[in-house]
Amino acid sequence: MIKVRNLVKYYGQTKVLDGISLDVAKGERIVLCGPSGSGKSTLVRCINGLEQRSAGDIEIAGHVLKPDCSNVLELGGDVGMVFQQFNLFPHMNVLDNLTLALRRVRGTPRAEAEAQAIAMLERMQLGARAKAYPRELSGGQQQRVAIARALCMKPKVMLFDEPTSALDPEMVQEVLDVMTALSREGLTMIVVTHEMGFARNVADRIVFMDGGVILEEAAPDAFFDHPQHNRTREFLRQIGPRTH
Amino acid sequence: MSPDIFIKAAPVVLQGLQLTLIITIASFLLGQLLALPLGLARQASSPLLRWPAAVYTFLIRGSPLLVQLFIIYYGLGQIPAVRNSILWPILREPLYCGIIAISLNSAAYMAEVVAGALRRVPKGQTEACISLGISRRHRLTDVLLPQVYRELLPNIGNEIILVLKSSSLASAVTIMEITGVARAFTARTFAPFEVFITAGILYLAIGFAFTFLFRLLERRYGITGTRTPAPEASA
Repeated sequence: MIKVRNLVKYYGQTKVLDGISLDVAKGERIVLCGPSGSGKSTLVRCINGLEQRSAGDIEIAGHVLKPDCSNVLELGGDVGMVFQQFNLFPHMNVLDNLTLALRRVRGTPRAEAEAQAIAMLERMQLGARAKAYPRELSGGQQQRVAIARALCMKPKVMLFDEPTSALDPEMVQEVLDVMTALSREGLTMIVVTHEMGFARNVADRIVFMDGGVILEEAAPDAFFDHPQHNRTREFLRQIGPRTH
Repeated sequence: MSPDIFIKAAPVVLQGLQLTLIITIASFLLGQLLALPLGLARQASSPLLRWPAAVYTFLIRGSPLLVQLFIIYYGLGQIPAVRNSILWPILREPLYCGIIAISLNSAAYMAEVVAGALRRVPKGQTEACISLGISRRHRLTDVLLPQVYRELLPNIGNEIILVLKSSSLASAVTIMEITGVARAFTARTFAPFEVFITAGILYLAIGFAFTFLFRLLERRYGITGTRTPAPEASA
């Protein structure tokens, strides 16, 4: 589903990704973790073409992404993205947020798009908020709307870039619950997160990054119980209390 | 100061009202229309678009409107090519020249404002669109510009007041709008104080009406929740 080969990315003189190779199979759930500045957000943003890369090859959901990302729109909603800051459209109500891409990209007629969107909102237990504007919602609700918006396009892959980092603590769980439910449906997912409890429960594989390289990849139990690398152990110790 | 002259001045000054409104509204609308492509060009990635727009705003904003008006009305008529062109019936008319000069001016100021507002839309909005596959065109028409113009409603309301005040310069090229008739009346009565105070009050009244109109628009179209707290915010 995703194939990354020798991905290199510079910001000016700084090398933020240094030869990343990663394969993700259909239905696989990957949690990307690592200290801040390790390049995990940059990696997912390169994978869906939001960032141009300096070198390397990326193939995702059947599309070969050009290095300058000029063909990024070919992905056309096949790769859903959930952002730390939600990035909902503030001038549209929830329903219009969900239907915009369906209508403009997929050409779905409005009535049909709205029916799909409402079904999706029901699933997210947000059916009552269809006419609300983003700013009238709590952070957790906004992020669930953002997830629903991406899911409306029936993506083959979902990328989550620190989806709970901007949330008040009491709202983190409702978003994690939605993501956990999604993971049970066989959707291919890459999640950048510091929520190690979620990682242990949901991930098929945990990818640990530091300094722009992948230091370690392992199943959750192996990763948490027998980390191979010093840096991994150090990271787990710092983040420790949330692990178990 | 004589109350008689106030009473006599009022109907005279009102004769200019129609032309003032025509110049103001036409220049405002034309200015807004031109400001959008100019503002987009100011923000374009291609220097071929960016530079001409930058030069245009530099020239227009850097010189007085009255000078531009004289150049258009008196200057262009000196050029035979202009006099023989199909544009001559327009450029011959002081009213059209006034509208052209004021709208070109308004467009230059507004273009910078539009470009600034485009720059301020969070990058995440564009990124969300890209990740959903939304094309550049729909990004602009459905996501960026609706946000830009909602944010700019107060600036646009301000701009129409500025255009209204600029319209008084049209009197310098013989147009009998409010200031024009006021000047003519003063020449006859030698009572500039009363006449121009009447004119000033009329400008204030028009400006107030425009301000009120834009308040209504802001209330209707402003982004929900940005100005008024939503009643169900904590739900």
